[in-house]
Amino acid sequence: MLDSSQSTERFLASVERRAFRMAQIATNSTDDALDIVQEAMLNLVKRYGARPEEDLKPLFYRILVNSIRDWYRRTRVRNRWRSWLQTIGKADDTEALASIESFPDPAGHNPEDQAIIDDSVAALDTALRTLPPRQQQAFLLRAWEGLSVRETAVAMRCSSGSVKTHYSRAVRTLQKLLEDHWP
Amino acid sequence: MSQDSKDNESVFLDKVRRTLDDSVDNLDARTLSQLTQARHRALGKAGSKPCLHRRRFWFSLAGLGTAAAVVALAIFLARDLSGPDRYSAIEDVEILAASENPEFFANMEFYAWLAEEMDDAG
Repeated sequence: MLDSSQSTERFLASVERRAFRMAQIATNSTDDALDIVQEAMLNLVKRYGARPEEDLKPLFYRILVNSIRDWYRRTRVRNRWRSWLQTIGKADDTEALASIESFPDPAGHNPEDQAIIDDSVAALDTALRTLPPRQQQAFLLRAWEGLSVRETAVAMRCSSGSVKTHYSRAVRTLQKLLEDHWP
Repeated sequence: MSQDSKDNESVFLDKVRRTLDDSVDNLDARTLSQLTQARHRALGKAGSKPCLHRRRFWFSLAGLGTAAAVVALAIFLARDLSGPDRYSAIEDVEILAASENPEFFANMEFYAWLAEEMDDAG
């Protein structure tokens, strides 16, 4: 029989790649996605490591979704500060400006990542990134991760009705965006 | 929704799943290695229990340092900003630094008040 740490490790190994891809699609940054997944793993082990393995999936995705939401907030603030620095900056503090500008642009693309994935994956990633974050999360959790409406609602901290709305809008948008690529 | 629409949606979703699964299968060795390391770090860190008073000491020290930085920044910003902009700037600092020391931000209102008090006094 497995002890709790072994079953937690087995669970994490089973979800880490998909979790990474979810975070990568959300952030468009490999490094940020790795940070987010590690943070989610650490928080899961700390808070819920002793829980039975079957309980871990919605809890893990709840933590992951929360971490991605924090990333969006931080990125939004950084962009706001970057704009502020650009408006007041008489280039008298180029070092600070350069360090803030080094943060990834969530709307941009990472050429390194794009080169290693095939056309279908690239097209799908691009389409997914056009979705509002909540629709993107609802879609990936429901359609890919296979969470139920209720489990998705737990992960996203919203009602089941909201999950259904986000999900159906996401499906419609993706079908439309990808109809040329996937006839 | 018609049966045709349902069938189309089902085919579409299968394709999405396959594509996403492919993307996971094609992750490069470096990323896979980093994910494994991240998992081991998470399991290792959670297993280690540092001495409580030492941890408190470092939290206090980090809290003081961050508090000083935030108050200084808030005073600096308050020179040019007024009203809601001023509070927005303080909230921004909170969000940016949240990953550094989450406990500190439980007291964020206090630091906003302190910045305002010092500004009024100065």
